[in-house]
Amino acid sequence: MGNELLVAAAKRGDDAAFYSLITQHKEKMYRIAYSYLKNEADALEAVQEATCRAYMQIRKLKEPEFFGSWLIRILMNYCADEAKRKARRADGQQAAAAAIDPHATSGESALLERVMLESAVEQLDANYQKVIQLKYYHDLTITEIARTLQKPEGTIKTWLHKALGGLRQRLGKEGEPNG
Amino acid sequence: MDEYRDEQARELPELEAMKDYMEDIPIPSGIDATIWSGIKAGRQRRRRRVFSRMAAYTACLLLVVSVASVRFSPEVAAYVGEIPGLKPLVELIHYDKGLELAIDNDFMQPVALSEVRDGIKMTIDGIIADESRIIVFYTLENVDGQKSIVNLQKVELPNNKDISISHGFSAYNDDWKSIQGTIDFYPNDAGEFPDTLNLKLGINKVTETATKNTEWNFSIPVDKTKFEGMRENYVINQTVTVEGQQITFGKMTVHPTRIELEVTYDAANTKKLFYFDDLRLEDEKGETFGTISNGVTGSNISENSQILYFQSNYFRKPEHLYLRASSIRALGKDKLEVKVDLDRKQLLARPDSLLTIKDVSASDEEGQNWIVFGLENEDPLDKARAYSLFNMSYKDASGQSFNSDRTGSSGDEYRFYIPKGKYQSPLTLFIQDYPTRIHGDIDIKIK
Repeated sequence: MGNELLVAAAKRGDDAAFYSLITQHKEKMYRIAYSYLKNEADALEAVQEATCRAYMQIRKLKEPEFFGSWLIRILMNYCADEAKRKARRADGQQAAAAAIDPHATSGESALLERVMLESAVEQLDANYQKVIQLKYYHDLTITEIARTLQKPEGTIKTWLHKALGGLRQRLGKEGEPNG
Repeated sequence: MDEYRDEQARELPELEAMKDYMEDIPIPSGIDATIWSGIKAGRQRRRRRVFSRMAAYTACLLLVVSVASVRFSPEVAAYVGEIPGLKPLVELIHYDKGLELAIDNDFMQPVALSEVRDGIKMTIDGIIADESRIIVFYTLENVDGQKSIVNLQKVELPNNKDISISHGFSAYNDDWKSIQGTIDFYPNDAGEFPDTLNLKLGINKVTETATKNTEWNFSIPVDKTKFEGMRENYVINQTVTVEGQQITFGKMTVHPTRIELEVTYDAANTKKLFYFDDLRLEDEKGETFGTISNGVTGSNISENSQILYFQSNYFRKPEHLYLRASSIRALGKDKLEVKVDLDRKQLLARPDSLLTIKDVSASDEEGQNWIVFGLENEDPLDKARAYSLFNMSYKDASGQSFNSDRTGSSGDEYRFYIPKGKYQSPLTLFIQDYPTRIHGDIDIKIK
C-alpha cells in the first residue's frame, strides 16, 4: 500500500520518494545486473542507467503496484543490450571460454559446475535465459516473472520447461538414468 | 510453498544452488550513490527535453558525488582549523582553487541564521559574494532523528527574478544527521545583487508514513562593502591565429569568485572551434588557474562569441599574468553535418573515418528509436572524456526539424535517440564537439 503512495509522489516529481522506491529493489537490481555483466563496475552502471530510465518514464507507469516488475524489466532490457555489446566486442575471448570441455570437470568443483551451468544458460535463447535466471538465480515466482516479462503465466511455464530441457541437453544430462 | 516446480529441474542441483550463490554476492557500499547519480542523470535528461531549444553554450552542473581526495593548501587548513564547523563547508568547494583562496583570505561573510521546522534545522552558515556571483553555504540537521529522505526541491528569490540560480543536492541515507551544500546565484546581464537576499528554501521530506514539504524564508544580508572595488578589468583585444583560424580575446574581468573572458571567433574561419583543451591563466611563478569545470562553465553571447569562466587567482595578486593554450577541438565547417541513411544503416556524410554507424534500433519500452555510432578515439587527452557529439536538434530529408530528447554514451559507443515517427531518410545530425584538434602556442601577456 505504502508503495502506491510513494509511486504517486514520485510521479509528481518527488525525488526522495522515487529514491526510496528504488532502494527497496536495489539488491535485486544489483544481483540481476551482476549475473548478466559479471563485474561490479558494469553492474553498478546498469543500476544507475536503469534508475535513470525509470526516473524519466515513471509518469507512464500505469500499475503502481507492480513498480518492482516494471523496474526489473527496464534493468533487464538494458543488461541484455549491454551483454550483447560486450560479447560483440570480445568475440575472440568468448570462443575460448566456451571451449571448456564438459567431461573434464567430473563434477568435483562447485565453481566449475557453476561456470558450466552459467555458460550453458547463456547459450539459451534470450527468453529462456531470462526465465531461468529470474526463477532460479533470483527466486522470483512464476507470477512475478510473468509480470516482469509481460507474458501470460502459461507461456512462462512453457518457456521454463523448454529452457530446462535445453539445459539438460547442454550439460550432458540427457539419457542419464533418473535419480 | 506450492510454487510451481518443473520436473526437469530435479536433475539440475547446480541450478537450485544458484540462488544461494546469488545471495552471497556482496552489494557494494557505493550503490546508494549510484542510485542518486541515476536520478540526477534522469532529471537532467528530462530537463533536456524542455530546455534543448534554449541552446545555452554550456551550463553543466557536474554534481559532486564523491568525497574523494580533499586536499587543502596549508593556509586554508590553518584557517579552517581556527573556525569550528567551517571545515566541512570548505570541502564543498575543493574543486575550485579560486574559492578556496577566497576563504583563505577571510572572504566568507558569516551569516549564522537558523530555524527549526518539522524536525529539521536549516542553517545559512555564510556566503561568499562579489559582483558576479554569490555562493550560499547551508547546513541541514536532523534534530529529531527521524528516519527520512530529504531533498532540496525549491530555491527561490521571489523579489529578484533577474538572478539565476544553480544548485545540486546529494542525500543518500535515510538515517542522516547533517547535510551541507551550496547554492550559486548569478545576476543576469548587467544586473546587480540586492543588499538583502530574500531566500525561500523548500525541503521535501519523505518518512515511512508521510511526505511533507517544508519551507524556510531567510533574509540574508549581503555586505557589499566587503567586495567594493574588487574587480579588475583588462582589455586584451588580441587576435591569434591557430592553424589558420582566428581567435580574438577581448575583455577580461577578474572577480574574487571567478574570471570572465570574452572570446570571439572570426566568422570567416574555415573551422568551427568547439572547446579549448587546456586554456589557462598562468602567473610569473608558473601557477595555473584553469577554467571552471564544476558549475556554470561558459555562456554564449552570439553565434561566434562567448564568455568563458576561470577559477580566480584574484587573491594571489600575481605580478604578471599570461593566457596560454595549445590545443583546441575544432572541425571544418563543411564537415559538421552527419547524414544517416536509416534504411541501409549507412553514413552518407561524416567528419572522417573515425565516426561509424553501428546500428539503428528500436527500443521497445520507450517509444524511441536510436542510432548507435562508433567513435574511434585513441587520443590520451580524451581518456576520461565522454563527448556530447551531436546537437539535440536534427532534420530529415524533407527539411523538417526535430528534437532528440536524449543521447547516451558508453565506451566508444554513442547513442542518439529519436522519437518514433515517419522520417524521410536520410537524417541530418549536427556535430557540436569532436576529437579533431588544431594545435598552436597561444601565449598572451595580459599584464
